[in-house]
Amino acid sequence: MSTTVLQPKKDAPIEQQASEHCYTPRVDIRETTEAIHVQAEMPGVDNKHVDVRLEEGTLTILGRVTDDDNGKPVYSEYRTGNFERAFRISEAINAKGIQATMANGILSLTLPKSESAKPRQIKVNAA
Amino acid sequence: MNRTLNHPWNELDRAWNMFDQVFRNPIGTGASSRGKFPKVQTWSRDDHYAVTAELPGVELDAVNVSAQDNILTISGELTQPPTADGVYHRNERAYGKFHRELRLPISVDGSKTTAQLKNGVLTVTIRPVEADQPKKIKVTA
Repeated sequence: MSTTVLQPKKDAPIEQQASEHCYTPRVDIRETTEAIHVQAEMPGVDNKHVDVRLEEGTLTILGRVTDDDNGKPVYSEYRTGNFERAFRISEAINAKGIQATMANGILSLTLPKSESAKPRQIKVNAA
Repeated sequence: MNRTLNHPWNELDRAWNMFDQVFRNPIGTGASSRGKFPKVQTWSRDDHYAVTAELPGVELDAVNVSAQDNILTISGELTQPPTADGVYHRNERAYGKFHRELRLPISVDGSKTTAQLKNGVLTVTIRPVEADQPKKIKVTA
């Protein structure tokens, strides 16, 4: 349990824009004995515009905001743009078993650990 | 001398820009470390305004919107999903109750206000009460 199987690729400060229209989503990452659970905030992104990629040990999550045309902006405390964040993942993840769901602007990922990475219970037999 | 006839809504737009300063001292703010929550945007369109707020993870029945006079209130709660076990490696999201009152430069007609929560974004469409709308005055000879 002490090994971090999933790590953000670069420790960019939250809210810092990667580019003009790209934002780093806030994430919660929880590790259990069975899997790594990721929840990423992507307000304005629907399930058709989210992309989860695993390439060469890097897990990338991308969300494209489908802007509703609300009219002319007159006051603004936040800006909208796409979301992107990359994580290094170890080989201890069973890539084929990764599951992703999108609801209420939250991307939920379940990354199951491969059998070798799960803690093993060794049965102690009586002599 | 050239005279420009301003569209009445331009005047209101100017008021919205000024209300930036009001927003810097909101009546109520979320208690979270990330400052004002939720953050809002205001849009002007034809005969109405829209206020949008980012509320990722907030369920439909956990958000309340009300309008009275010139105060628009957005409140609710973002509940942390129950976690039976495990260790957190990252905990960047914030949870808890939020309450924000926005003092608007117009009086809102509550009966014509609608709110929609979609993909974690709340959109409140507001229309000014009739009294705030420009009335056409007939000019007689």
